[in-house]
Order: sequence, then C-alpha cells, then structure tokens
Amino acid sequence: MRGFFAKLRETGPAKRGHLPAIMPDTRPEAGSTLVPDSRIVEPQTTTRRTAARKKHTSRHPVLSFVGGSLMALLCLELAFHNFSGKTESSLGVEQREYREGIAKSHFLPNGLRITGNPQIPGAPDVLLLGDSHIEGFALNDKQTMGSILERRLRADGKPWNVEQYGWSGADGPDYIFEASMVRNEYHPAWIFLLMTFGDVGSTVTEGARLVEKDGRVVAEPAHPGGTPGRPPSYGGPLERKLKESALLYAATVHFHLEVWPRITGAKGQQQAQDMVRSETSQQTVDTIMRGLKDSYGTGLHILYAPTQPFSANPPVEPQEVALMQACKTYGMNCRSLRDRMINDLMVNHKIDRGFMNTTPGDGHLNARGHELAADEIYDWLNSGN
Amino acid sequence: MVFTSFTFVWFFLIVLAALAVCRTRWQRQFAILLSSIFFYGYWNPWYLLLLATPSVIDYFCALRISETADQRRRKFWLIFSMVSNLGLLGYFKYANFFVQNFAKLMGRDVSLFHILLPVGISFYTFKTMSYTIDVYRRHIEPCRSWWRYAMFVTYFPELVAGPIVRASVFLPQMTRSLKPSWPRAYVGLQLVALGFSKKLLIADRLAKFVDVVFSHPSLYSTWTVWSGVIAYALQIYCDFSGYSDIAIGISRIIGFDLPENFNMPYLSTSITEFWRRWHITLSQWLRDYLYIPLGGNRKGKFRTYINLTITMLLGGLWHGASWTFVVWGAMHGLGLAVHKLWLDGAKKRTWKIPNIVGWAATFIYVCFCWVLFRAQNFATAMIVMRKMIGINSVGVNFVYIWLYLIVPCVVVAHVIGWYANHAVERAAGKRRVFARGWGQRLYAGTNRVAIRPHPQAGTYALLPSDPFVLGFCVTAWFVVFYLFAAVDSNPFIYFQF
Repeated sequence: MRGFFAKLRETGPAKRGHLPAIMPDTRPEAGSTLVPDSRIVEPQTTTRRTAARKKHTSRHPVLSFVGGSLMALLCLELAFHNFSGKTESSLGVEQREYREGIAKSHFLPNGLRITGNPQIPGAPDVLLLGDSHIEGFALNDKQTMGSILERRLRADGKPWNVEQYGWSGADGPDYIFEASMVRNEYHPAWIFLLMTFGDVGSTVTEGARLVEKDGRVVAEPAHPGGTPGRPPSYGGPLERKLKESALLYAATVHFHLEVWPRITGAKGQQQAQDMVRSETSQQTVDTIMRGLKDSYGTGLHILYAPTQPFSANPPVEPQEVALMQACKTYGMNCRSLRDRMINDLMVNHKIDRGFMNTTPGDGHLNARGHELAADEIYDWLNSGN
Repeated sequence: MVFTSFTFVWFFLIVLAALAVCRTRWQRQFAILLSSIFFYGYWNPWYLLLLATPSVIDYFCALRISETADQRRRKFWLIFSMVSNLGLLGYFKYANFFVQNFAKLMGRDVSLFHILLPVGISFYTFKTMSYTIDVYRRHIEPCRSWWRYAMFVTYFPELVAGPIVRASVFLPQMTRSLKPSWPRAYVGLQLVALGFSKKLLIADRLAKFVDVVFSHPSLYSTWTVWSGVIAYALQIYCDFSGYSDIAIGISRIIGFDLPENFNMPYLSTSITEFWRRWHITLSQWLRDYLYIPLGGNRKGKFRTYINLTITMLLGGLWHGASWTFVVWGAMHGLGLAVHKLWLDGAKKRTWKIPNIVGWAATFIYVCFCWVLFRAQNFATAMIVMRKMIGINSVGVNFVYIWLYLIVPCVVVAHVIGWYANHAVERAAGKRRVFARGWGQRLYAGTNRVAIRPHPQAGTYALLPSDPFVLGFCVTAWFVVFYLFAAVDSNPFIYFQF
C-alpha cells in the first residue's frame, strides 16, 4: 500500500514550486520514428522534486487516506443533513423527501397523514383513501388535498375533519382487503378513493388476488397470512432510526428503489407488469369495482387521477375508460380529474404532476394537482351526490 | 456497448488484464485489435464486414499511391478510395434521405430501403479518408502492416463517436510498449471519472427536461423554452465532451494519446472561435480536407464566404441525413461568413465590440442553431424559435431545479478554467514550461473540468497526491456519483451520427 502512495506522489502535483507532469508515454522505443507530441514536458529538477516529495511524505498514508474518506463523509453528511429522513418531531413521525421536490410530511403512528390543521373532536370525518398520492411524501402538510379540503370546508362553515390514509403501491385489491379495518377504525361519513392507472386493470397482479366468496368479491392478502392494517410506508423503528443519517438514508433509498431492482431484474418485471396493465381487462376492472362496492357500499366516491395531459384533446387512458364503464355498470360514484387538468394546462398554464427536480409532468400529483383534487372533492361534497 | 454500461466496464477490465498478461508490444496491439473487433461486433456482427471494407481498401490504395510517382495513377487510387468510402457512407447513411427527397420532388411514393445505420460510420469513414489523402499529399508514409492499420481503423475507444484521430497522430504511437502503467492509469482514470460525471450527472439529468420541452414546445412559456434550449446546449456539450473525455482517458490507460476535442466552446466570443473550440477534430478535418481544397481564402473574399458556407453545410449533413442538420450547418456557415466579413471590415474601423457583447451574441446564435439540431422537424424548430423571440410567449413556467444547480457549477468551472488557461499562456509566452502561483494551482486543480490541458503545460493529474486529500476527493466523488448519477442513462447523442 505504501508503494501505491509512493507512485501517487510521483503523479500528483506538488504543493509548492513546479507541478510534476504526468508524462504521456510519447517517447518512442529505440529505433522507431520520433513521435511529434507537443505535450512532452521536461521533468523538473531533482532538487525541487525531492523537496516537494519530502513535504508530502506521510508516515501512515493508508490512515491518512481513510481519514480523508471519513472527513468527506462527515462533510457530506453535514451538507445534506437537512434532507435526512429524520423521523422524530413534535408533530408526529416526520418524513423528509428530496427525490420529488423537497418537503417534510408528518404522520400519526397509525399511518394517517397529518393535515396540519387542528382536529375538531367529534366532528364528522371525510376519509381520503389511496396510494402514494394520498400519502403525499413530496408535499408539505398544508399542501395536501386533505389539508386544502379541510380548510375550505371549515371556511364554508362545515367543521369537519379530513383524514388521509394511503400506502405506497396500494392498488384495487388492497383497498378491498383493508375495507373492514378502515370502516371499523375511522367510521367515516364520506370516503373518497383516489385511483390512478396503476390501481386498476392488471389481470396478473390484481385479478389474481380477487376471489368470490358467498356472492361477494373479496381480496386475498398481498402476502400469505397478512391481516388488515398495513404498516405505514415510512418504515418501522429501525428504519426510522437509520433515516437520521442523510447519507445512509439516501444511499439506502437509492439502492432499494434504483440499484437493487436493476441487479435483480425487478425493473424489467415492473415494466412487463406495466405492459400487461396497459392492456386493461374490463373484466378485472369490473371485479375490482364490484369488490369495492361490496366492501364500502355505494357511498364510496372514486376520483380518478389521469396521467398529465399535454394537449387539449389527449387520448383517454384505457384504464380510465374501463373504470368509468364499470362505475356506470355498478351504479357507483366516479369522477375524473381529466377535464380539470386539461383546463389547468390550457387556461392556467399549470402542470399538475411532476416536481422541480423530476421530469415535468411525470410522477406524483404535485401541490397544484392536490389543489385540483381538493377542488373536485369539495364540489362533489357540495353537489350532494 | 455503451461506455456507461456495466457491460463495458467488464469488457474494459478484461482488456486491461489481457494487456497486462501480454509480453510483447505486438501481442498487446493484437489484443487491442481483437478487443476492438469484439467491441464493434457486439452491437451487430454483420457490420464488422462494413468496418473491414475501408480497412482493406484504404490500406491497399495508400500503398499503391506511395509506390508510384505517376500522378495519374496516384489520383486514380485516391479517387478509388474516396468513392469507396463515400459510397459506403452514402448508401448506409444517406440513401433513404436522397430517395425520399427525390421522390417528393417527383411527386411519387417510393418504398425506402431497410437500412440500419451502422454506429460510428461517419467517424471511421472520415478517419480512413484522411489517411489516404495524407498519403496522397505525402504528409505521411503509408502503414506497411495491415493489422496495424486495421487496429488504427477499429481502435475501440474512439471508433463510434470520435475524436476523429488522424493516422499521422495515431500510427506513430504504435511504437509504444502499451504496457499498463500506474502514472498513465492515474490520469486516465480521472478523465474517465470526469467523463462519467459529465454524462451521468449533467447530460442525462438535463435530458429529462429537454425532452419534455422539445416534445411540446407550444405549451411552455418563453422563459421555460429558453431554459430548455440552454439545458440542451449544456446537455450536448457534456454528453459529447464527456464521451471524448472517457475515450481519451481509456486511451491514456491503454497507452495512446488522443487529441482533445473540446476547449470551453461556450466561452467563445465569435462563431469562428466557437468552431476552434467545439468538436476540434471535426472542424480541423473539414478545414484540411474540404475548406482548403475548395480554395479556402485564396480565391478572393466572395469565394471565401461561399467556401465557408459550403464546408459547414456539408458538415451539417455529415451529422445526419435530415434537412434540419443541413440548415443547422448552413446557419453556422453563414455565421462564419458574416464574421469573416466583419473581420475584413475591422481594419478600417477604429472601434471594437466589447468581448462580452461578442460572447453573448455568439452564445445566443449557437443556441438558436441548437434548436435545429435538436428538433425533430422544422415545424417544432419554428415553434421553439418563435417562443424564444417572444412570439406567443405565454405558457407553462416550469423551474427545473437541476438546471439552476448545474449552470452555476459550469459557469464557475469555465471562469476558473479561463483564468488558469490565461495564466498558462502567459507563462508560455515567457518561455516558462509551467505557469506559477495561482494560475498553476488552478490549472492543475480545475482546468480539466472545463477544458483540455494546454499543450504548453503538459498533462497533469487533477487530483493531488496527498493521501488525505486524495481520500477526501475520491470518497466525495463516489458518494455524489452514487447518489445523483442518472440511473436511466441515455445513449450518447453522437452515437446516432
């Protein structure tokens, strides 16, 4: 190892005096033609080189190298510490997000997303159910659709509470499976379920979990032996402890979401699933809708959030078509954010998905998207349907 | 096989192991030749035949040219070589383009050829053409060993996207031992790391924004479209110069020195200077083998302007078989001609335009030209340009934070690089081998980020030798690269040419 650093000393620039050049090996072997190379630089005098080298000589080069590495880690940790996933907060469990925008979100230990507004004891509950869009890691508490809705309702003289309950990656069968827990735990007066193209239609992943029992559609747990009451996506106590280091947190998340799926080929499987999903099966969507109706009753309101439109007349996603068709068939309350999103793009020049550090229009609903969703739900509640 | 893939990393490690195991120089050269064949054949084995064609034809043509003093025979073999090279390029790259346009002109529908564009054909065709021309001009002696010549043609680090290395630069380096050595590897690895950073930390990050803006330009505001165009200017610079850095770094590790391809092009204060700093090997090729044979500036002012425009127009066509590229080249040619006209009149003027104005005008003009380079068609390019000049300026305002983080870093690197370059040049003017003081330090430490090493200054290692500082830098780079490098890497932009 010492030899390694000794060689380095010959290659790196000296601290004082002249820079030792890395000599491109342009000198020809004996007997060959001379290579014209203007970069050949005469080496420095031995005295200067020796002096410079002496100044650099370290007794423990390996330890110095390790020390430098640790110092780098420390500096980076300090620089990025504000983006750590630190979890303890007076408001509840705190999740810091930097992958999609920069935000701090807070959760109750049972997984409910805090709206940032004071809760009114005994007030009727509006429950917003969904996946990572409802979880809203990428938004501050006050920017979530639940928070906006709650403020608008209260400003309108309706002292209601809005609960937000979502899990990353949840889909149709998950909502059916969790129905009993949701109803028993929260007793909501209104339930709004936010669905996206990922929640409906895959015969392989979603259809397989749905079974018919006693004339009702029920969902099998995602994992054998699973019970309703899914743990929050922000992780358990150990995971939350690890999140106190920004570097460790970022490295783990990056490895978990980007590197590992590539190593195992899961990314390819995910893409294959998306391909399957794009060939939406009306039968599967119908089954999911029946299951939701059986579990939550006709009082369930389903809001569909489409992908970001980029024109006044974008093609309607097959998932949305299938969902609306199934809603009509089973007499359920369904709406889509499509028109609002198109209007927002063409009139207000706003994009409702994507964040400042992601591809425009890609990913989760942003603050503007949540505002639109809150508007839609507010209008829905006022319409009395 | 893309440089930024794991497959290439494994491939290169095997190449290095092979070079270390080989005992003699010719064994190492043979190992490099085999590696290059594998590298190109990995993409499509059938196109190895395409690569072999110029390797054989130009080798024999050059020998025939050198063997005879009869000018007619020499010219015959030169023309034979040119026709074969341009024929290959014309068929594989431009056949459909010309057929399509001819059919459109005649008002007919024709079925196009099913041709897959061979990767790097533009680059290695220019390389082999320059070899034959140089032999014809008696600038170099022909290579007497076919497999050494084949190694020059197929040399994998610069095979698919340059730099366009001339035989006069590459073939004499065949006399080197090519034995892997730590000092060369130390510099080479740093260049490779720099290239990876430019590609994965900057170019691929910006690509996500650029793609969206150019796919729906009418939706965005003037500000956002300008941001998209500037992002593209940075993307293509970091993408292409990143590739060049990796190619040069890999070559340095192997034992070859490739010419530099970029020299802070966005600091140019005129379009002429821009082409001295951007894709240097191509602009030198166009100058030596197209502009000067056309007459250069020896046939009067008007012919000079025409020659400049023709050269750049063909340079644009070289980039791709599309009218947008042709117009892009023509716009640069026009820019060069106008600048030449301006310079011709400068002798009579007593006032000068401040450099900052020249810089701003050049940068804006280059950005406008990039729109044609990036847009899928003229309609899209026109929408973007109209937005840029403020027509129908209302639209989505999207702040892409990566652009605002990257731009200051690039600006700082360029400013320091500019200062350091001047310090080195001043030192060179005083006939000192090295600059001293801050200029020297800055040059060693930061210059590489933005520019090539100054020819007067030798080639330095970017990182210092002190173990503590080295440990700090290496760890910091690894962490930042791991966390922020784009995972979904796009192919290098210049692969399509």
